[in-house]
Amino acid sequence: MPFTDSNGVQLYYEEVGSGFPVVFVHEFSHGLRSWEPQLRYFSRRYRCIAFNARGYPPSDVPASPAQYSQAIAAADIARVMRDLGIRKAHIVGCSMGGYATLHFGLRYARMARSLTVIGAGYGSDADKRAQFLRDTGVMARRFEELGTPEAITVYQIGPARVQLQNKDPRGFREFCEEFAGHSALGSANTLRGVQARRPTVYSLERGLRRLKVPTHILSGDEDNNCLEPGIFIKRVCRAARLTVVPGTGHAVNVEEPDAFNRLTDEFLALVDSGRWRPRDPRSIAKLAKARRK
Amino acid sequence: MPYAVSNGVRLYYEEAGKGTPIVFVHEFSGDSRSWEAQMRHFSRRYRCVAFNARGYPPSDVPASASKYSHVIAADDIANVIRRLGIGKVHVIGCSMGAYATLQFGLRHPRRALSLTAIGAGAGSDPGKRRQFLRERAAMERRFREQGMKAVARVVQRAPHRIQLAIKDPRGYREFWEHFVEGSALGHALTLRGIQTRRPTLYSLGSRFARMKVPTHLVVGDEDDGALEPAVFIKRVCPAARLTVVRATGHVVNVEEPELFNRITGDFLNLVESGRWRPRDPRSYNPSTMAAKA
Repeated sequence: MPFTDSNGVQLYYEEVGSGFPVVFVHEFSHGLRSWEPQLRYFSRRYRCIAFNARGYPPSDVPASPAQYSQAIAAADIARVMRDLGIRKAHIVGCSMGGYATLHFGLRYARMARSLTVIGAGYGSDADKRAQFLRDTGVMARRFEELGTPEAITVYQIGPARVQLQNKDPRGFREFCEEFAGHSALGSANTLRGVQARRPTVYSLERGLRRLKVPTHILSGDEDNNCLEPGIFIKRVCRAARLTVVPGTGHAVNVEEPDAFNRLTDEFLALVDSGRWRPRDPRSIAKLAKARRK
Repeated sequence: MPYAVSNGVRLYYEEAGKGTPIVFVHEFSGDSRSWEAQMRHFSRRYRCVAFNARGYPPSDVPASASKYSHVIAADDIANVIRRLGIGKVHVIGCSMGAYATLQFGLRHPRRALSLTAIGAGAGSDPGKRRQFLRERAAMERRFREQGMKAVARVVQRAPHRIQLAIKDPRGYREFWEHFVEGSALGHALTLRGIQTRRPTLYSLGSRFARMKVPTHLVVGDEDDGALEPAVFIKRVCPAARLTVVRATGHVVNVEEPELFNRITGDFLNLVESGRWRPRDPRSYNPSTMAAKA
């Protein structure tokens, strides 16, 4: 099995295709398997790399929550790339991996040709923050006390997962089966180290205003925790464009692989062509005027 | 030239194709010709009808502002389809036409198979309401005093219209060539009768909550006045789904015809198949990740 080394932590990865590299960063409840439709599609034109985060076997599962954080998650992307001799890549991440992708762009801008950020924003909205931290604690305890298969019975039909269950029962079953195989310790540590401690999207405003890396934000229209953060990023970051996908929950790439691949293909091709441009300042004039008043 | 008469006012329309009917309702700065890319695409499977609103020649231009209102605009849609012997119809509208489309859904739900509303919501934001009304009054004066060409020079540089200039210079030129052929009086009266007097979308929340017609909201991510209203309707109306289109301004069907036709085709297919369903109540669960809050 292929592994890269990140400060003594072994990270499992898979690779397919050749060309300019694309690195896929998975979400909390779905390991690198969640990128299967993307690996099959984008490997026709790109060198595709998907890796399992720390805490997700076959990657190592460090025993202490202190070894998991948002900064470490972003650094792990950089270390995987360096280990594979990659200086620059398109980065594509979902949810927890979307946050990691965003932070990677803020911290390692020179290593990113573009950022694709799906379903990032959980824990950001002030009115839902307390609920999010409470849910994170409850879920971490469930993993520790019940083990993964029992812990996830309530999670897998959460408010932004039922869309997958309704629209693609086979995909939903596969998602549940894969999720049930996750490490309980790794999942609990991830929740405590990353989710519960990461900064909100809103607190990243200063960095986002300066971010120059072409960025594509995607969210399902029923992913309640990501809509406002997505609009916020679009408004403060001139390098960002926003897509909201109809009738869709959290993991857009899993729920709507065709639409996601098409949109992402267009975005990557635009960036690769050299014709990508940040938002035209003339399109923000009205907002600026309104703010001055 | 074919006309449908609505309460004594002659409305010019064009028709193409056979099958389930679609009626297209244009925006303030466009006319039936703004739907050319949709007429050519959807006439392969649908009976497509695009009409000019009152105030837009060759339709009549009633000389009094009292002959223009958001209610009259919705009833004009109903009268056009009645005159054409159409029972139920997919209605697709942009901006002012999207507002009329949504009003049609509220007032004539039994005649609507589905609603597609592009870029609705201008003037809804309470914080910018006074600015909106002031700008509309100034524009009305400009129409009356200076004529179409002078207004075009201002309107075409609006923050949510500049995107078309950047991405499709040919489409942009054609759009404004059509615009200046319009009636200055018709535009002035439309501004006074409809745009400044219609209720904001936020004030219609309880009615959208009860509306059952399958609805697709489409908005560009740089159409700043329409983003929050679209998210609002998505949240209050279980029949609504939302698409946000990346790097796009106001008139999504003109700016991104291929993408618009694709997502609209997907939506119409779903509705026509009988498999369309309103939003799953489980997705309103306030918990951020688990099945129960």
